[in-house]
Amino acid sequence: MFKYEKMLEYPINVKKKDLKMAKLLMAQLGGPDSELSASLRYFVQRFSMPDDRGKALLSDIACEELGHVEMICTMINQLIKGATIEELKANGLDAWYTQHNKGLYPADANGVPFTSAYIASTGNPIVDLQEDMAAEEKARATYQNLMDLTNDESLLAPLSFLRQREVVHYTRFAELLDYYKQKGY
Amino acid sequence: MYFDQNNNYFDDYFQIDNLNDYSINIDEINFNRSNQLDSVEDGFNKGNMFKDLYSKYKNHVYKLKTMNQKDNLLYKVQMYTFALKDLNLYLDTHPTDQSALFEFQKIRKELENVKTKYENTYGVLCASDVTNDDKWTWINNPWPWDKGGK
Repeated sequence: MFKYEKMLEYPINVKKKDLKMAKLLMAQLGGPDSELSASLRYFVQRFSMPDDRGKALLSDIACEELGHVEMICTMINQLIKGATIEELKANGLDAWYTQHNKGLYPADANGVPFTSAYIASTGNPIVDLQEDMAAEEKARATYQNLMDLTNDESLLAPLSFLRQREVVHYTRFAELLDYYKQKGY
Repeated sequence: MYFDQNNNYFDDYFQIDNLNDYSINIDEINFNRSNQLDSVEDGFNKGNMFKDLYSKYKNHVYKLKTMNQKDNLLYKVQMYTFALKDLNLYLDTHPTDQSALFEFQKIRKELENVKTKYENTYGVLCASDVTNDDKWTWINNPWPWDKGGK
């Protein structure tokens, strides 16, 4: 059961329109290592976790990741507000406008639609946790790439926050993996 | 419905400073923190409550400053919600850590206080907490993406 809280995990207040960054941020909405991938990955994998720690950790991180999807959507939404057709064309968003107008849609930075092929669920907790650690690291690298591509502090602050969450999640998954190996799962 | 690029309504929300020119304008949280834990405010700004775990990238550390009472209260709700969440994840893999259990309860009480303050003045954050029986106030509040996370 889920309950919606009408607030973001971290405040977002994008100061200026930036269509290029809006397009690039799609990577973390609908790309392979996106927040959406993360949320769905942990949400389904938690059913294979062998004990209470794993069931709790994957449930709790899956929920937080859904909050990150909301943050990414908020950034993109604020970045394209007020864009004219000419601006959309000039920044390579005319194809997006054709299919989605200014609506949000889970696709990557190149417009490739989201697919479940981005995630794995093997039914084996040791294997799944190693995938989860790799996923957190790939997302961390993506956030660093995004941070390299902008100087706007109103974007850098939430990107820096989201990058740091990957570091924390990676550590928790690593702790759980060590524990499961010791337990002989 | 689209944001007018010429108006500056975002400017009354908050500013972002680099943590280096740090000025605290919300109450210092004076709890008996363990060595591992950062202050609730610094932890929130960094996205990590655990000092040893913190990993910096290109000196990008930001400190949010709120500009009015409403934003200040919501910022506190977000801050304590975050701290509680990070402790929650830690406790999932360290369920017998007594000092973390103690900090969790401390932060939980702080969150309850600031949430009550915020909700009494500005409206509830969950639909199931609406208490008005004369009108449906849930839909009235600004949605989080409309005004910088309010």
